[in-house]
Amino acid sequence: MSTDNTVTAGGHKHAHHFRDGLHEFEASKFGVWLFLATEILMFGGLFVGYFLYQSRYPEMFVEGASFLDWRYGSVNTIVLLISSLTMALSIHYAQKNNKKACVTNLVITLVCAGAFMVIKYLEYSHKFHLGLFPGEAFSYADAVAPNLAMYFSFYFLMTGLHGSHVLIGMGLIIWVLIRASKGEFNSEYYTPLEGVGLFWHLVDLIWIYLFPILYLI
Amino acid sequence: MSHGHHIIPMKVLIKTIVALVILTGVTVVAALDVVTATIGSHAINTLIAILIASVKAYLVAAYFMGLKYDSRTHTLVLISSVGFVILLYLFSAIDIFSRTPIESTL
Repeated sequence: MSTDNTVTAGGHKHAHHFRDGLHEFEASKFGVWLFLATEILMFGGLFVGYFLYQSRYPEMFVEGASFLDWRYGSVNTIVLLISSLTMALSIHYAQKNNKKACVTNLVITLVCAGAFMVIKYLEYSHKFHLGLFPGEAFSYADAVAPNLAMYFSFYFLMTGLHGSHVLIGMGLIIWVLIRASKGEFNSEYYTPLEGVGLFWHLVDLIWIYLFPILYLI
Repeated sequence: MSHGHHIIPMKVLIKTIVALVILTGVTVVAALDVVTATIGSHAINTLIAILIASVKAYLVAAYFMGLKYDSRTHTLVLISSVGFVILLYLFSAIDIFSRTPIESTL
């Protein structure tokens, strides 16, 4: 039987304008990478702003960072790194036709993502309690630097945009988790899993930079 | 064979996460007050933090995202997008840091 009309074990048939399943996979993956490039450019603008103003007002950024607890940040870093590993493992097991291990790893990824958001919630509510809001809403009375609000504009914009990506990532993981548990993915077809995986690793990549520049500097 | 999906070995994935967790520890220790006081300036500390983060980013991109085993085109997409962000920084920096301060008498 030629590869042209192969329907995989999970019931997936590649679209007619692709040579075969691999051709479809490669095209989809390239599309995801192009999307990731636009994500890097979007976050990039915030990073550029951060670095420019950080070198302008280093003391103000140090004062701002002093309100952040590096322990929360470290735990969240480890949690996201582990979730990245389990995401990679779920693909590894899908490629080996191990449905159960694939689903288990996706569940762990989802739990880690949830843990990340819970810690973020605790951190945010602590700052809101102190009046450390971004921009004009800033109402913390004991600030030393007159422009401390700017630090929190950067903090909330960068972690907020990142956090929204974690939430969207969770939605995508739930989607592939449902499909994986239906047995739709196997060594021949796991394209959605690969795409969601790449997105999730990018979310991790961005946090790898956010953690030191916000919490530790 | 009609397909060439590369399966990243379990051993590689485990080694990667171990390295990433260790490097996270190094980042935190390097940023502690005791260490920063001996190493020196704020700019140097920022640079150290960014360097360690970049090593971690390399590990995630190469092994978790599989770029090491993947088409070079995907690496090119990643590097060029980061390149344009750096370009944005450089041109903005030329502007911001070359402005005459308001209090200047020039």
